[in-house]
Amino acid sequence: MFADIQTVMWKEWQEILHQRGSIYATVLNQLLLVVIFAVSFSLQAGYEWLETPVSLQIWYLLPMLLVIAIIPDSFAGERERHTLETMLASRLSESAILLGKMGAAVSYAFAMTLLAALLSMVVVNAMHWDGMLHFYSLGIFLAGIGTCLLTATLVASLGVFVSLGSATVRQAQQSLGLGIFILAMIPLISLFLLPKDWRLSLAQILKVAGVTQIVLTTILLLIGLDLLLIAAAIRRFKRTQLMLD
Amino acid sequence: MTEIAIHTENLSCSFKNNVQALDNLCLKVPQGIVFGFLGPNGSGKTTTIQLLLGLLQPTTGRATVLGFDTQSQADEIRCRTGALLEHSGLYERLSAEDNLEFYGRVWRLPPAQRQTRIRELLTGLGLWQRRRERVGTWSRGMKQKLAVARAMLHRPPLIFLDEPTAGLDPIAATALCDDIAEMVTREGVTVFLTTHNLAEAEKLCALIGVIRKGKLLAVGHPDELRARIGSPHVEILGQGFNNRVLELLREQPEVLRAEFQNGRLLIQLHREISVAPLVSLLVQIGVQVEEVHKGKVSLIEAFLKLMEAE
Repeated sequence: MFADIQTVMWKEWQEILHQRGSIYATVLNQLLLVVIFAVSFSLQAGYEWLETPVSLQIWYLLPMLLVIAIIPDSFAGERERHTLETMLASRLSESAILLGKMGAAVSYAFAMTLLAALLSMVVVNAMHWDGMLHFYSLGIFLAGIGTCLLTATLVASLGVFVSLGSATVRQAQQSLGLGIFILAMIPLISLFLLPKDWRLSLAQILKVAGVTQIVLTTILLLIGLDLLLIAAAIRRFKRTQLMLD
Repeated sequence: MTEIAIHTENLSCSFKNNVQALDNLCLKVPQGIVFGFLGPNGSGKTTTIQLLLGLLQPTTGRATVLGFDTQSQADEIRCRTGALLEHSGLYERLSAEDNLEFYGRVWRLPPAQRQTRIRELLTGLGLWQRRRERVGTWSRGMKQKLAVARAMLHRPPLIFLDEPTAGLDPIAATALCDDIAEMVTREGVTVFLTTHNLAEAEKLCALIGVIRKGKLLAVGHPDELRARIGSPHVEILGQGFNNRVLELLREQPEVLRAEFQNGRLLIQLHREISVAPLVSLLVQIGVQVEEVHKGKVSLIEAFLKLMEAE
């Protein structure tokens, strides 16, 4: 099973790397995005970028954007290009195909985000040099890695779910974009709708809890959501159903 | 006893929109032959392949492929078969080599064996020199060849080819047909081939099934189908034809019918036989024979007659 997941990941990576014709063109294009993110975010923050949770924004925003860009293609793209049926006619199990595609999207987002995070560390040190090299604090770095992996998995599992039910990549992109937007807006709108005294109580709870506890709670929440969505996607992905679709 | 590669019993499949794609299909395909499944568009050929690969569930009936049940052991079937489905299913952004590399990994061929096999197949199909090119830049004929190579990559005992020459020009279609024939002979696989190219079927297939609107109309060797639909005939040009000649011919047991048509003598025979004794007889009774044309019902005629009868 693990070998099959790796095989699907290998293929997905090949497709990602060749999406702009040649590997060089794709890498150049992706590096541009990484550089823009790394430089623009870290320049403003200075050393705070390495020592406070402010850098967590890059660890969740970038993987989210990267996965949104590629995951709609996972099934809708294969269906559009008529390659899905051949893959379904092979010996690969449904779970291996699904997890392989998700794994490729998550690992790609993780690799690019890690690169952006390291690059931003270099930028901070170069632009605010004080005679010694500064690294991310261990807590921030671990929280960043966790946030990145869990956010990428969340978007990937949601994206796979959407892609499975979409006839075209365009439709999948639109549905996923809307879905993520709604998900992001729900907490904000809910906050506005809450009575004022509830909002004050919530602010008090967050203040008492502290950053570490908030980050840990968020991570736990993400783990729960990820598992739920992966289970739903596995349940949704049936060969015979896909053929009839 | 010949082993059976594919066995279907009253296999039926209908879709939600009440379309009966397959209607009580009963079929036995022996191992080691090329079986041609002929039928017009929408006759149920592709659905049959999808059912045999366990990609669709039948409404009623059952089928076994290489001894495995298509509903409960579909994974086992997919492990032992190769398929070129309605579309080539190639990753057009990737090179030919990467396409085969992916499926080589899927079939768990060890790296060294994978490389040897890829080289062997691409060389055999004349594609080795272009293995690093993106498949998207290739002609349809080349893509189909590559898709055939992919289907045979892991040396499966059975391959499904769904209209492999569809959309190809006659030259490319003939070339692909020759390649398939050569590879099938070399590898000794059973092939389930759907097509509406009758010349291709006649060239490749040892057994042919004709299907229309989901119903199997006939199964047999191309010669058997021809014999079942129409009888062989002889056309004789010459001088000295008269009613006595006709009467004499009609008395011969092998002659089904004899008549004059536009100054020619047309003789319809019961079965495929040597016409030399008949020609000899005509000469003996004074007919001056100039030309003898022996003909048989083509598979196209047989196919069309089957369609008309239905």
